[in-house]
Amino acid sequence: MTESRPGPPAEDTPQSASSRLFDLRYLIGGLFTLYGVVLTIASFFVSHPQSGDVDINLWLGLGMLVLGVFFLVWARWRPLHVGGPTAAAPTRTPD
Amino acid sequence: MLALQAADDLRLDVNVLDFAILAVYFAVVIGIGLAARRSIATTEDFFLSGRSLPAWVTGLAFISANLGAIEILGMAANGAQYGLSTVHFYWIGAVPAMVFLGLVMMPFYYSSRVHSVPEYMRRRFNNPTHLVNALSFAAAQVLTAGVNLYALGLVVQALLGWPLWVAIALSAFFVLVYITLGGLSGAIYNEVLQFFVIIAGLLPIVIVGLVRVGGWHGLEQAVNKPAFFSTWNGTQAGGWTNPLGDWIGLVFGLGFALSFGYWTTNFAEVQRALSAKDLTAARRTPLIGAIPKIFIPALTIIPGLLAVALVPSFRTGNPNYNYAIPQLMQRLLPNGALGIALAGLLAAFMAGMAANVSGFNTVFTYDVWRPYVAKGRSDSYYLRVGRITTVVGVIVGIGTAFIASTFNNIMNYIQTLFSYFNAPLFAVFILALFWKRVSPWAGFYGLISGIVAAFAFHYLGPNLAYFHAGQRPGGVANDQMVNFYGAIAAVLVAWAVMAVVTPLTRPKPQEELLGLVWGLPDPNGPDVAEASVVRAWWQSPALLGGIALTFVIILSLVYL
Repeated sequence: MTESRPGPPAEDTPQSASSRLFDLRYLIGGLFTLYGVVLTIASFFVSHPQSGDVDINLWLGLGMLVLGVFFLVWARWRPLHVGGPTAAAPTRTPD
Repeated sequence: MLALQAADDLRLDVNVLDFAILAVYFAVVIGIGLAARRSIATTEDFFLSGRSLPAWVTGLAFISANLGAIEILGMAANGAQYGLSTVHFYWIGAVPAMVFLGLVMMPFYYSSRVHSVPEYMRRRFNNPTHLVNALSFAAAQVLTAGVNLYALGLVVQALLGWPLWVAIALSAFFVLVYITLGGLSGAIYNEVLQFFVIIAGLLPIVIVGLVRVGGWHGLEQAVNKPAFFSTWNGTQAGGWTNPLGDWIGLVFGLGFALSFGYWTTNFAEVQRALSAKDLTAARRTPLIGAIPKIFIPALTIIPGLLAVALVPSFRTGNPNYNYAIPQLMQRLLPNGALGIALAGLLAAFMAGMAANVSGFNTVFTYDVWRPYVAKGRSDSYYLRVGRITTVVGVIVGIGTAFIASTFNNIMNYIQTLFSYFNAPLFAVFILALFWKRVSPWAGFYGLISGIVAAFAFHYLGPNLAYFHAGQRPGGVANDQMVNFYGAIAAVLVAWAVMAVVTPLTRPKPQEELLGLVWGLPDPNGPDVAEASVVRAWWQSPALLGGIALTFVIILSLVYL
């Protein structure tokens, strides 16, 4: 396995498994989409005497939904590990 | 917060929706730990995420590791107590230091491939300096983890009515699971997630609160304290009236000694940058963190001011400032948004503690156990030591939780710890980087004398009349000011001692300092090739740093 990033040579140490780390964007995207949908639906049922005229659950729900979808789209658009961890030099990075 | 007299009236009206939101969040927290476990085969995977993470992840983790609940509740408390002057902690404190770390210091940390800040001290100076730094850092981390845990127990008790020990045991358990399994990756992923959840939790408070009081001008009228809405008023040296003291303390104490000390030498922060996948990503880590940091005061200080406007007890008597945000959660948020805010707050407590524990286990394993106790064992042995250390760290953290109970304002307690350890360390660091002649023993005695000076000033300072309101003795000393000046004293003493000891002792040979000191680049350094890689213009660290500083200057002028 050729590593694209520089690092000290591993002598008696096992190979790094860091390339097996999952893509955080799917997790943030999934959680915020779920929260967004739940809050948006709940906003029609929960009374909000505390927040007065502002239906904060609706606005928060929509905001979280947008952020969640953004992360999901980003993760699909630019996946992690283009060409797998053995790619010689990934010129594109997901940030 | 630690004087918990008014707990019962803070009980939140949580329902099944809020608990469902909380349950999902905690399931995800554990899930991250379980999923991150697959990515750990070596100690470097466990302690530094295998140096593989993209800059936006490490950047948000960098800011989030500091955005613990103590920081959030403490800054809201400062906002309620001191007003807008609190922005100095962000705009003159954090941001310039983060820019300096990214632009100037990070190449020395990252390209020298040290695993930790203490390891840099060992290579630049000697083993005694290293050991002092490693042990004092480890102790500070465990103490801070204890503060986090205790504060979390108090807040959960006040908001949900759970017994203190249940909240402490439960949250310690969650942190333990995701760090022991997922290592630094587990901590960092949770921190990034927490960053977004805490914003989603705090933003509704600010929006609903500002609508309630009638916008910014309504807030100014409702608070009715003009001094609360300026930041530099009353900071003249000799006759200060600003609640944070004079400009000398603010600029040199808070801005230089404390903040540069914290952000550039605190390994719990630097560790996030070291886990980045290459040098440019490491340099961009604190810079990406600096941009949101500029705007976080809107989510912490404004709630503090809103509490003054909306909570009757904040205008009379002796309010418990640390409860500003919980008070507003109770008054402004309906079920649903309340669950998100609660999840964000609990997550922030855990993220703060996790940052301390992951810094602690790394330094203990790499800098105490491996060099001084059990040398030359296999990598899997040290990985096991790291996991055991995590368990021990959490247990000791629970034990030390009660040390915090003797201080009234949590922020002061944390600041006091910083001024003992971070300011002297930074003084030593900055000379080490820019003066190649500084000898190993000068580093050692500089560090020791700085720590002693910080301790001494903590006890001497409150007796000096200049730190009392109106500069007359007899009142109560301004704690923040004593901290700021204590940090200045620590830096000056450390520098003076180093300047005296260096000519009397032998310097390190220059070939051992390659890559560690300004002006002595390592021609065989691991990141030399990276300099020739052409990157997109928006990935330039200098551009990011410039943007952050420009924002801070503009905002400082607007809110002068």
